[in-house]
Amino acid sequence: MNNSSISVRYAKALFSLANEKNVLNEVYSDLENLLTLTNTLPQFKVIVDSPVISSNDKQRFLKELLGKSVNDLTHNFLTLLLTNSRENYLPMIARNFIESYREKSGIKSVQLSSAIELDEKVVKQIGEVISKKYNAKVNVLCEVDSKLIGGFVMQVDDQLMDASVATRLKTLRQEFVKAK
Amino acid sequence: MAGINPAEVSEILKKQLEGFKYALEFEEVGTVLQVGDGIARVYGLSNVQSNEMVEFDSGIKGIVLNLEEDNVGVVLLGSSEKIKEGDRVKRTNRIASINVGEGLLGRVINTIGEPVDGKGPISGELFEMPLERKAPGVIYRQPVDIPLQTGIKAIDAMIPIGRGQRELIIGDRQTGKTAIAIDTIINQKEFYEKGEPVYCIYVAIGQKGSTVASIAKTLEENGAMAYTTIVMSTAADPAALQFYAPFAGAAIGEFFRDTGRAALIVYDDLSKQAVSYREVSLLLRRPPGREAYPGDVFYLHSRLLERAAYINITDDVAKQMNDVPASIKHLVKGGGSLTALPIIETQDGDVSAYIPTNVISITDGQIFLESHLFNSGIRPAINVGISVSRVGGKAQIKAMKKVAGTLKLDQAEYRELEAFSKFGSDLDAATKAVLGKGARNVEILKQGQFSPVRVEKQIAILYCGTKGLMSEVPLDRIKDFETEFISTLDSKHKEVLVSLSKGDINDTVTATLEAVAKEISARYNFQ
Repeated sequence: MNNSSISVRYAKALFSLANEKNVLNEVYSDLENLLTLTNTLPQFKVIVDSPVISSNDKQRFLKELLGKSVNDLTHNFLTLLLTNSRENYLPMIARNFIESYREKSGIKSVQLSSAIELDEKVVKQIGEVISKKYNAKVNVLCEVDSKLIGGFVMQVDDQLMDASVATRLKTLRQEFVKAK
Repeated sequence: MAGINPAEVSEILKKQLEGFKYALEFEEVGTVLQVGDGIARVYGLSNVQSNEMVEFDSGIKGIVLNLEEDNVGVVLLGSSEKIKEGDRVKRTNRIASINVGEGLLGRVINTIGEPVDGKGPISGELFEMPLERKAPGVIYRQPVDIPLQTGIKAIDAMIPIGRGQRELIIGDRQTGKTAIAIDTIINQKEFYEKGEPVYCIYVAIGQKGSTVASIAKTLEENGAMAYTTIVMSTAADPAALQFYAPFAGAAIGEFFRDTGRAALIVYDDLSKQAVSYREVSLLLRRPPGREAYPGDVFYLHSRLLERAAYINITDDVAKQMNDVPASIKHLVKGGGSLTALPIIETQDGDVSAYIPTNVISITDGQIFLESHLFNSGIRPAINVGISVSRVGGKAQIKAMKKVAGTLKLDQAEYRELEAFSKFGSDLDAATKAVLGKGARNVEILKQGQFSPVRVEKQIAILYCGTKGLMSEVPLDRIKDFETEFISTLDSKHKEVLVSLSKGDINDTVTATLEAVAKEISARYNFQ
């Protein structure tokens, strides 16, 4: 019920403070790193979300893990989250922050998965097409996924274009099953 | 498959391939943040609409129920096991709906319209009808004035139901609530055979699979499946499928209603639906209210039951009806109706619990069933004193109105005196007469399961009851008298029954009825 309002408020506060202090870019990259950390390293999420570990221990853990690599504001923000016991909202807050940052700076993140490794030239071309279409800066992330068999899948924010052979085969199969 | 020609197969395949278009376009997607207990929270899908269907990677579908600032709450229409955190969720751009057509008759389907009776796919043309749809406005409605014959004497005489009405059936467990609904469906066979069918929809919510199977079998055996569709969501189905099942049934009913035909829908039962709605609401973290039901549980039932209606008989008016789905726009006709028989189960006769009071206030009357009546052999166990139909006599044929007019009052007087008579044995003749007549009426109103009585026969036997023509017949022989009386009329005085079925009751008819009754009752008196 109040899940989203909590994360939206924290993200808003962090965003406006970072904007005032002119450290938006730093905080953005910090939060992006933290988000990938939670997504890729399940143990990190387990420790942060755990109700058994005290907030002092969590703070020590974060300090050791992140050290001096994060901005002071990010550090203060994490401390605030821990003292307010809202640390399990971290991924949601990070997502909201990243979204507002991208909206402000006009960056579209493009995720491109393909069956085979793509030429840099091709990637650049795709980037140009997208940036022209949305009239925005584009940040292309490439990924190779052999399960696609062929073709590519491209995601721009929450818009997805699926031109993979695997999906085509799947739709074809569904079509025949339906007709039967 | 024996004589199939290979060339034919490739011809079909070729046709399908030709129709197969692969359009490449952007779709809107989101990511699963959290999943469990039949609920998924999804990030992204920023333009998704409330009540829209979404599809998960694994092919499982869901319906969007909560739109929050930065995530979307989705109820799953399948098992949550195959869905993982981080899975992709696609919009389908379709508001939750069900495909409806004549092919559904005789079938058992689930909430999303898939057949579950193993008889293959639904045949014939299908039209997409939304599960949630606004009820028709006042201009497109007509006052209820055609009776819906239930075939149950006590109901048709004293608590008449009209087409387009909502009549609640309420009572404890094991009081015969479902039996009344099933008898009513079976009684519509008469109209089906006449070529003016009342299409029936039986919605089973949260029941045992075996119960639904036996109901389907009963309907089949009584020849009622030909005009009936069963929508089932058993106790093993996800809560979302259970609370959407009545809406799916209503969508099917609306198809018949809006195409100018009569339909009857039974929701068995809405208390279980409220429970599954409560489950989903609590999991979505909506604030609980009384008995932990969410605040909009009244609206859940009122908007569902408001869809029962008798549509204006003028085609031109009906064609302008609000919120008609595009798929059936060209088929809309006036004069259709959807009658709803919601069922509510009470706990130990407590009608003042939250859900029973809500539904009582929404419906146009209620049929109360009581376990002590059931146990003392009065079946159907209807408590006539507190059962009402707010549409009333307008929904009765003339002859029935005339005959049954005093029945309810007579029975009320009988019950009052019966309580009194228990104190002493000295009763005057007038009291004795009232008691005797009342007791005989009670006997007449008893009726076996799966044996609905046609309205003309109901009128004939009730005439004997209200006029006191059976005062000479001993109480325990009333049933025999009834059988003999009806079969005599059937074999020797067909014209009387024909005239009664048209609603005409005149002096010649009553004279014949009285003569036959006198003749037969004399025989019983002698014994």
